[in-house]
Amino acid sequence: MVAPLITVLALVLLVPLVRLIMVSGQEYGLDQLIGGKPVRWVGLDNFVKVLTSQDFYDALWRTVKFVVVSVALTIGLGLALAHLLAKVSAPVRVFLLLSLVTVWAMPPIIAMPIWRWLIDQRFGVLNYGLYKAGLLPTRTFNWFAEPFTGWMVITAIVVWGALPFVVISLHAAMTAVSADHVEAARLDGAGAWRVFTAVTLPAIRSTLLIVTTLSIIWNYRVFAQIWLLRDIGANKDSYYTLGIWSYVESFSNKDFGYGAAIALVSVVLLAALSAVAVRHVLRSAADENGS
Amino acid sequence: MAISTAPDPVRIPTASTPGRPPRQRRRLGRTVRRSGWNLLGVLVGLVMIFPVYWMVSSSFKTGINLRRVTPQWFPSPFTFDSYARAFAQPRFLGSLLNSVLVVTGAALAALVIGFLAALALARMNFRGRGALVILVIAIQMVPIEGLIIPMYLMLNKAGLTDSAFGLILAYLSFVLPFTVWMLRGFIAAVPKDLEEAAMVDGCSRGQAFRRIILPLAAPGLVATTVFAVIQAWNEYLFAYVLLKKNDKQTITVWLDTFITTKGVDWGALMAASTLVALPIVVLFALIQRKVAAGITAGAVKG
Repeated sequence: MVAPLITVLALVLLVPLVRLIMVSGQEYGLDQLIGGKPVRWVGLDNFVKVLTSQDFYDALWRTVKFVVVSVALTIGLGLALAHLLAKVSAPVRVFLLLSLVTVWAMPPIIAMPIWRWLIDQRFGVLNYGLYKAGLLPTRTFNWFAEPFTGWMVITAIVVWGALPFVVISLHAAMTAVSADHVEAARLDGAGAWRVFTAVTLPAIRSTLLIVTTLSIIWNYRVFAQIWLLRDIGANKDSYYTLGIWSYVESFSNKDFGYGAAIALVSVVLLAALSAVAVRHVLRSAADENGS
Repeated sequence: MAISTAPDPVRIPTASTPGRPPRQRRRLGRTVRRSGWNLLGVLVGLVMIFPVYWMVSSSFKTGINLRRVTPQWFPSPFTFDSYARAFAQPRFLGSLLNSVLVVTGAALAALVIGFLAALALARMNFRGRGALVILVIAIQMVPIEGLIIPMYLMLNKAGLTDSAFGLILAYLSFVLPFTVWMLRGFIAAVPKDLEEAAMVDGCSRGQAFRRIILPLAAPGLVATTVFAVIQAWNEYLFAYVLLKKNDKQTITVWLDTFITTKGVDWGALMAASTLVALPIVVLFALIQRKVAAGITAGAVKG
């Protein structure tokens, strides 16, 4: 019964992965793609080229910064909102949940046109609101003129889209926390913060860990949000993450070997970045199978 | 964050406090605090949903009202012109159909393959089961940018670029692991005792499956299907790379080209976006609870 699964996974994941590794050791360009010329094995040259290139460290630093900031914001705000959900009365909770679910349901690709429209230089309502509130110097503020403000927009879009899943998962975990435990802690004189750290946090720990891991992985892999927005402005390469850079080298510059090497390095780094959390998830899966 | 220093008197059990005035004061304080939270809750909800509201309301505005110096908060007059313009765009309908075709194919394939495998993973003991579970989880770490290069090279060689079948294959790479993961959680959540009891009462394995597991796991099955549909419908990168011919493109790629090539007809763009989002929002609302449970349940419980 698992045979079809294994076959298909091998076909669409394992073979491509092996192929990726192979290509990363080759010179594979337009000549090979359509010219039918034989590939040339270059050993580790592509990797040397990646690791000695300043572009790599720039892209890596950009990726790490983005992941850390966006995940911290997502999880921090997620905890705050999950807490808020527990505090409000029922009708407000329903409204809040409905609005979160609606946002969650938005296809990520739709977020692009929406946000482009919100920050449109002439008619963007966000620009209008922020200008009226005195937060923007001009109504026609161009967010993508500077990489810093451009990244603010990208981060806002990603966090906006990622929040609902995090809030709803954490809220579900929090409601499962036994009211008796909270009550007992309160009777022992614990304040709200103490109750949170001593009772709630341990109880939601595993959910929090999974949600954080998934957020790291998802935000590391963010592609469309950056790819589709950065063409608004100048200084395009200020928006190259490892993913974007690999894409550009492969599909724009037709240097598939180099692109594959970047992608592989990126995969390994992601594994390392999320290793601790992933190990926890894997271990809980393994434990459960051992029993 | 919610840090109130006073201990919250919400549920002090039993009526042991006879004095009335302090109680009322407490209740008043509680009401005020609760209203504060409620106000904050409503505000946060409004901020979160505003971009979506703005998309929908913009799609019903007239061209002049879209380009006002002071934004028009409610569409008036209310018009469907933008929708008419969206449908009149070349290839809008065709791209929608392409998306439907690819999504249906990918979801069906994932469901059939995934359900069989999930059943085995959740209910049967065989060698390498643990390893397979771990593989299914670990495989989801593979970023799509890593797959896109070899997938493109391979499908290109096989002549399967610009083909719905090729795209379905590519989509299985991310739909399938998730499907297996979620389904396994839902099937495992059906108590084994029920099944065993049925078998003790003389059901065959197949009957136990049909009468016990299937009905109990059905909501999970539906949720997983919907989730597979949503993922495939939303996909952009594979479609963007693997489909180069205009008449093959899916709706997500169409939206992208609409933004970049047409200048910006914001009204039509918002109308098209609303149309693309609408089915997903409806499907999503139906299964939201199950999805949240499924994503985490796959990992934490058996």
